[in-house]
Amino acid sequence: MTKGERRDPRAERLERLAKEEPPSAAATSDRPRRDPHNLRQRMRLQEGRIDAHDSTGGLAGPAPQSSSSGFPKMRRIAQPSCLILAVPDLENGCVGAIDRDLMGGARILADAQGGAVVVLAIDAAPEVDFGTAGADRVISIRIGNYAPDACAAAVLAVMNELGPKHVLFCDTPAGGGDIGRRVAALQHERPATAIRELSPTQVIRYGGGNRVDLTGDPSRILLLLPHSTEPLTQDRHEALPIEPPVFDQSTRFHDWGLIPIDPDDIPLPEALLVCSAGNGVTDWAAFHAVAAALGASPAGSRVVCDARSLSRDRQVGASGTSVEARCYFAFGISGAPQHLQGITRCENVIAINTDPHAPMMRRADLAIVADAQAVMPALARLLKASRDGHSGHDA
Amino acid sequence: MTLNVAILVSVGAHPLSGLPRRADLDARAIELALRLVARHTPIVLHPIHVGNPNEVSLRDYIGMGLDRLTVLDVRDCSDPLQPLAEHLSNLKPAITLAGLRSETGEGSGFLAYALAEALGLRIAPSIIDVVVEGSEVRLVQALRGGMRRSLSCAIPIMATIDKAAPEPRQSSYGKARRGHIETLSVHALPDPCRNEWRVAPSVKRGRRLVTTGPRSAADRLAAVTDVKRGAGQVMSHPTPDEAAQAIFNFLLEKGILNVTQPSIPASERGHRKTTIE
Repeated sequence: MTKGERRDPRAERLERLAKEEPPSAAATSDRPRRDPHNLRQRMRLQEGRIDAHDSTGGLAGPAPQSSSSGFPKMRRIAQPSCLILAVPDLENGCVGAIDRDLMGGARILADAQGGAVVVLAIDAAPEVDFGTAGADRVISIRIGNYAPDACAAAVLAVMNELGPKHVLFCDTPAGGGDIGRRVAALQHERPATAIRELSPTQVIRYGGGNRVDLTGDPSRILLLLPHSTEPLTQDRHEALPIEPPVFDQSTRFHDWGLIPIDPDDIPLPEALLVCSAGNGVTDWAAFHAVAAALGASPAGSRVVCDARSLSRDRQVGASGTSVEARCYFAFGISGAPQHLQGITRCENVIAINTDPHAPMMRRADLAIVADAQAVMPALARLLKASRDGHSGHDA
Repeated sequence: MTLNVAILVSVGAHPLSGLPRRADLDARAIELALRLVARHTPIVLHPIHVGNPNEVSLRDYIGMGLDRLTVLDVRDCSDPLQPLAEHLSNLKPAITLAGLRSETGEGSGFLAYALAEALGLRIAPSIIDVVVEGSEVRLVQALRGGMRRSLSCAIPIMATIDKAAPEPRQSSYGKARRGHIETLSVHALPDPCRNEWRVAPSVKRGRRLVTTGPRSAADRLAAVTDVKRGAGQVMSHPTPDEAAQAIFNFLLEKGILNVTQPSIPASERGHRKTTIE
């Protein structure tokens, strides 16, 4: 129909807007005149637009740069004005979510006054990187068994040597909460416990029964509830090792180790490993066998609990329990939104399902398209073989 | 040999109505103490409260099966540490039990530690079971994730009781009426740290959202509407053994297999409670 080039109204509009003079003062008034329509047009054109054919996923625009590369910038604090000591729990020797939160809290206090964060790492695994969690200095000590009195002695020795302005612990009953209170009792000073909000000038903590808030100045010994502060996301810190001080390693407890427990007895919200069944599971003996081999607590979706294959207190999801497992095994679960809602706080999800398009397979960190009935006995066999001493890698 | 067991009890508050009641953790401490009596006969229980002797909810503890309750008469929110330390140093209990935190007042859970320091006691936190073995006690400690640790320690010892301890028995009205409350007048100083904190009713705040790195509106939209996209590995139609090996390697890589608690072999367990059939 028409000959010649096709018009591109968007490019024309951009050109026109670029040529236009920036809005000048009106002749009648001294006040600069705003042209909201023009401003909005400019913003809209600069932002980019939605392109349905774009392969990158729909919304074209500048991609976030630093999120993929992790922690790009190294911050060094050579001459700190003060020191903030953080004593993370380090369950299994790893830096967990609550430990990252704690070090984030220590950073809040340190950054407000140009200080440095010193981390006292008790029994940390050798490869742990404290720099990404926000540590400027790290003191590593080994104690080994359960010895809270020796831990308190170590914290006290570090406090005497470095004179930190604040000492932070995670307020966990058998972990940092215990050591922090011990240290406070040894120092004859009151700790600020159950802290739920921390700023350089103010602390908000729970009073008895979590029914009142107590607000005041940060004291020297601070016990932070899990999830009360944000972990570090932007920079990394140098985590310089410092020589540990000498302290009394003796303890008045004898640690007999962990007691064998029945995974059935663990309440679901507490369980660290959850083995869950959905409508795709028909072989219940194999399901319970693999749950026992994993040492995981058995659970299920609403369908299997409705069918009375599992008891109601084992239901995961919106109308059941919300689980916070380190690893969640989903056998034959398609993943209804209500079920996915119950596993949002799980760290790792392994899904085995015949339907590759099931929502659970998209949520999973390891998705296996297979029949659960075939995989469950094979996994139970493999776990048993590895427990009996075979390596398992070359099985 | 008779063992003295002291139990420190406080007045609790119902989580919704705020009405006074027996504190849950302290009631669990009484329950553990009553079970100790059932196991080892020569034990004398000394339940102790510091506060107002006219408080009605204290009777709830007596109704669990105690003969008497000692109240150190301390009013006006004075510091309970000194009168309690004096009382316990005269009593010399082998085992002192207390809830992890109180449900009223500051609720810091620090009193037990301050007492243990003042009296030179060992203190074990988060305990759910106590067994006396000669001059030692065997304790079970509750850890995160349903894990349990076994400890032993020489007496005298102070133990704080976790919410995973056995459910406290019901309080009987008749026993509660018949029991005796013994009041001791003591001298207490005002708490020096009380005015450092402003008290206000707690305002519940929403759960923290996960924010990592720079976020655009598109990222936030995806976080709300979309499940994780393309993050996981996918295996299509493997043989069962390949699938099992992939899961096993995944567990090893994430360090999950070595953290689990030893579990009781299936053959030694009782009837499976999770299945109704």
